[in-house]
Amino acid sequence: MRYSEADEVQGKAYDSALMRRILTYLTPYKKLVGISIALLLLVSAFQLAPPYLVKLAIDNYLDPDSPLTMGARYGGLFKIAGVFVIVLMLGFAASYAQDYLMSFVGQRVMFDLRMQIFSHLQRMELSYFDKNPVGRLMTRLTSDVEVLNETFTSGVVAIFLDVFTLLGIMAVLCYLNLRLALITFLLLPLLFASALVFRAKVRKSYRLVRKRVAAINAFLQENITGMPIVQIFNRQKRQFEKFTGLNKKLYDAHIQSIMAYAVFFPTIEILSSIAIALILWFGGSGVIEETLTFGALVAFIQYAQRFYRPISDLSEKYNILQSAMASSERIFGLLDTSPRITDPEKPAPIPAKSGEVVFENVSFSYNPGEEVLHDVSFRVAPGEKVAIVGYTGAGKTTIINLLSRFYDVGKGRILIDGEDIRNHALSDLRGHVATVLQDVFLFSGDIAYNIDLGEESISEQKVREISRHINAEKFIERLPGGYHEKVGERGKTLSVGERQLLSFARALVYEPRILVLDEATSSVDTETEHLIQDAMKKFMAGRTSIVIAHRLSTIRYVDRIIVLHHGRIVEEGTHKDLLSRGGLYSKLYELQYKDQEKGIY
Amino acid sequence: MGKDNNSKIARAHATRTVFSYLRRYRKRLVIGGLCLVVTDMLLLINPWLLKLTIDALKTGITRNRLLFFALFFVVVTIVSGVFRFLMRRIMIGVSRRIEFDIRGDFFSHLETLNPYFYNRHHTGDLMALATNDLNAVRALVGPGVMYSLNTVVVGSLAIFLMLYLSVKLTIVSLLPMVLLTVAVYHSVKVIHGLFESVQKRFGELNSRAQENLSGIRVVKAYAREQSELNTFRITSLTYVQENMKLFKVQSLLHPLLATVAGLGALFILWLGGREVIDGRLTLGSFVAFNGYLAMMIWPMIALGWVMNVTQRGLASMERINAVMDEKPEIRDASPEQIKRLPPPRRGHTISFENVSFSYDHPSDRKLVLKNVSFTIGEGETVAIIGPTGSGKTTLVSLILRLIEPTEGRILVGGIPIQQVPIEDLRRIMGVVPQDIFLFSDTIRENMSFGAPELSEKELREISRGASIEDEVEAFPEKYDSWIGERGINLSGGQKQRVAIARALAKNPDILILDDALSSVDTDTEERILVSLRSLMKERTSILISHRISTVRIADRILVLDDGELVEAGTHDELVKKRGLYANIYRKQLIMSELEGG
Repeated sequence: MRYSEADEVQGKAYDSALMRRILTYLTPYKKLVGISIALLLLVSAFQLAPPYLVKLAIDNYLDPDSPLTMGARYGGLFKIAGVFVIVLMLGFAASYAQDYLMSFVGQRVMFDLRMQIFSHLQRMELSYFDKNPVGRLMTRLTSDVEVLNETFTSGVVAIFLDVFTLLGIMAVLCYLNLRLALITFLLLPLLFASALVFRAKVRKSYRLVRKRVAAINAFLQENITGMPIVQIFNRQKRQFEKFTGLNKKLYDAHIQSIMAYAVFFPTIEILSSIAIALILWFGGSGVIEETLTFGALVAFIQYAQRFYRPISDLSEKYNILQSAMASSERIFGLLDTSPRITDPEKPAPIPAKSGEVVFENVSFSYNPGEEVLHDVSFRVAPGEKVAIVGYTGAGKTTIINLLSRFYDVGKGRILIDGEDIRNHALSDLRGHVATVLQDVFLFSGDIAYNIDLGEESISEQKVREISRHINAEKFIERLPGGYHEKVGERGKTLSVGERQLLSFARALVYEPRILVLDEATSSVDTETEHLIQDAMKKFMAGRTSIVIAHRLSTIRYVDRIIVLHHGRIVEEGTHKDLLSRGGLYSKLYELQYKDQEKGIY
Repeated sequence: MGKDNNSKIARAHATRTVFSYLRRYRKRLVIGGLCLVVTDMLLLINPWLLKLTIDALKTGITRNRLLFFALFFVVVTIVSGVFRFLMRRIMIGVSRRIEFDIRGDFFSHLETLNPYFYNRHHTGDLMALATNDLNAVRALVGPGVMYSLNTVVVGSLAIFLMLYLSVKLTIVSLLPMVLLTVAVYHSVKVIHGLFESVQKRFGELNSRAQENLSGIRVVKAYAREQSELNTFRITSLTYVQENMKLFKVQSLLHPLLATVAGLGALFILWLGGREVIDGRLTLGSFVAFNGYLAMMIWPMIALGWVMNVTQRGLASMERINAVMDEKPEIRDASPEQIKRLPPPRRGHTISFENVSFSYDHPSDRKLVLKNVSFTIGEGETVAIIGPTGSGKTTLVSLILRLIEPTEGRILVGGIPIQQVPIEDLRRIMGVVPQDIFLFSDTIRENMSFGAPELSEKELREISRGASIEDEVEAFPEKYDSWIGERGINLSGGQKQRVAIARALAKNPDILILDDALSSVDTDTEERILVSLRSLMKERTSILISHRISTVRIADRILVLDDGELVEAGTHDELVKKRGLYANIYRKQLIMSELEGG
């Protein structure tokens, strides 16, 4: 079964250059990380203390052959118990503080990284979003960042704990009895080896499980979506068989991974029992020969039982680091793609008045070799209202895309008041040219937010004024919450006409000099239609306006009509002129506008 | 009260379901359980061995005996290791097996449910049931069962031995152990609650980013990047803060467990130490006691965890049950009412008698079809044309009995379709739906979707019929070419023709093409129509389109507008009428002229 593997976490090899770049994100939190590592030292020391305390108690006070008086023995035991209590308390505090601190650092790093990705995306040009689907970008922003977080909290730093603990145990054992310690260490290579083998096995079976889970989920999702087809074609039985096949494969993969675990745990236990047997044999002989104390023997046994934890943990950390490699590579890949449409170094100021738009021999293609605009030139005088009409694929929308610099022209140039638009700062340009798109995109938030789009310099007073001006206030005030009514998911609560009025208001609050408008094609009821037409006129009054017209009333109202066909300007003139000419425009009129005259849609 | 009662019933039902799955593997579970008991019993020998060794060391011991103890220690561990392996393999294996069963049952149940159900349930929610909820149930029947059994066995055996060593010490040192269970139970519960609110914030963060990226055109058009960044910063910070609330508790868990377990060791050191000094406890027993207590720690932690797993698993089982209890709305009639279709001659007749239909939206009872009546004769080819939203596709869904008419009735071959077995009804129909849905598989698999036994020769024939043979032959792997996710490797026109081939492969008595040629250019359309014509002669055919070039070849054309049948006749008759059809015709002439350049 094949399935989409595009975003699958691959088993990247460890890459130290990449790791160094990941670690730079810790730099702002150097101090906290330092404290955290220091705390880890304490934590492992406190973890190692109890067996040693028990040893001291046994050798000095519990041994029946102790030369001390009963009172002294009680007193000694009491002291040791006291130290034990302190160790427990401090251990608790240190390990809680360390864990919390590191989680905090991890969260901050995630926050930094997420903000960096998000703000980088805000700077990318539209064609980047054409090539990268939202889902993929979301993965960078969410799961890839989470994987990196895991690297910090349970990876990089936790490795220190394992290493400290391991070294600590070895040091204590050597201190207690060098010979016995060396004998015990004989088992270490075996422990390491089996942890390594286990790690490799688990990783392999984990990947297999992941792959098969993805396959069965893809199948399930597809079949749920395509259930009508399955049923129309009476395919239920066969699809179930296929599903069962995938299900069985997944089951087998699970069993494989169970085997890995089921073998690993007993193996570790057997190895540590051999270590204890060695300690019993050599240590016991030592006790008989009086070269080893009782307490030391007991402590040895307890320490030996603690060996395997850090060893198997270490091998698991290695896995975490590996998947971090894959995620970080993808994140850095995104961050390293620089935006192609950017501000010029010394932006030219936008003139306060006027508003002349000139297209000068503009050609453009989205994909190389497929030109959608060929050598288009036209001028729109300040305050003039121009409609652009054309059949599907004529290049109308491209004109909008170029004027607001969503894309940059291929050849030629676009001038506003005599200045090439590429010489202006993007934010200035887009504040000067208001673009109203056909598909009105609403953000979740209230009505007022969807008009001022969170711009704080715009007063609510003004939002209301403008809404009233373009006939939107009536429907807004009918909503239970008025201007503060929450807009549901993608504005489902509003009708098409209402959304359009809202988008007019949105454009107008910025008081642009130039209006670029892609009229909506969808039909609305007559009353709303009337409101929209009226609003359109108010909207365009006194502004340079370029409209991709779909409404009869609009093409009749504008000063001039530009007819675009296959990326070229073929006719130009007023509605009457063009109609009498009997050219392409008259055909378009028949096709797209004439029915509106009779009110038929 | 009633609600409370309902939830109790649902919980009891979930419990019964879980047990019924467990019961299927009764034998294996018993064997696994026995392995668990043996493992635990063997493991309890080792601390006792330590006790014997240490006490013997104190009173004098031969080297041989020491060696014997050491070897015995290893042997016991090896034997218990074997049983531990078996225990895991069997008990966790059973849980994977149950997961397998539930997933299969879930899918085969979904296959019986109708569009009504799928309108009410999002794919995402159903997927969540098959993944997250299934995992929760799995955790209950696997580790949940195994660890609770383990806790009982280790607990009772260890406590028995500890009591034997010292009653007083047992009581004192077990107190922290009980605390351990309580602590784990509550903190896991709190953590789970906090985790859910973290997830909620995460969802907000997600939708904020998703909205920004989907609306990036507007953001750019109004130069809102900076303010978007600010909003995202706030959402992001809230998420971080929620996370820190979680970590405040979660970071507590491990230190807490270590400390409580340490308390047990402390009590033994202090009180046990005193008994040793008093001579009431041997040094060996003291060490063994420590060993047994250490053995208790994990089962007690597991117990707190298991209690949570059980609650979550049962809640998930409830959610899965809710879907499993859904009954399909569209079913075969009762056996006495069922009628078989007569053998077809040149297809079957289809009749609509005063059919009206509305989707059951309480807010919007708009009729999608209004009192529609017509009859299509055997072997006739009828085209249906009309603007978007005029009810053409609803008509097809009605014939296929994917939905039921609100009023009126539909007959196929003279029999009301409610009385025809659904499987028979769908077997005689070859449908090319408007929304082409292909499966991520090979061309062969997709074409033979409704006729799995298709021979190589037949496959080629139907491809020719759908005018796609040459293109498929040109693919490197021909019919075994992978079409990609939902046919992403194919062009729109190719997808439509694969779907036509898929419908033809059934050799249907009734062929229905719902806007099946919209993505092919006019030349290809011409070619397909020519080759389909001979195929359509032998059966009843319905052609739905908004293209005149497609519908004009039909014997008769029905014109739908806003759910009503407004015109009917041949192409020439309808053009003369100067009604809706003539208007559409005129416009399409202009369009083709404009497209021509």
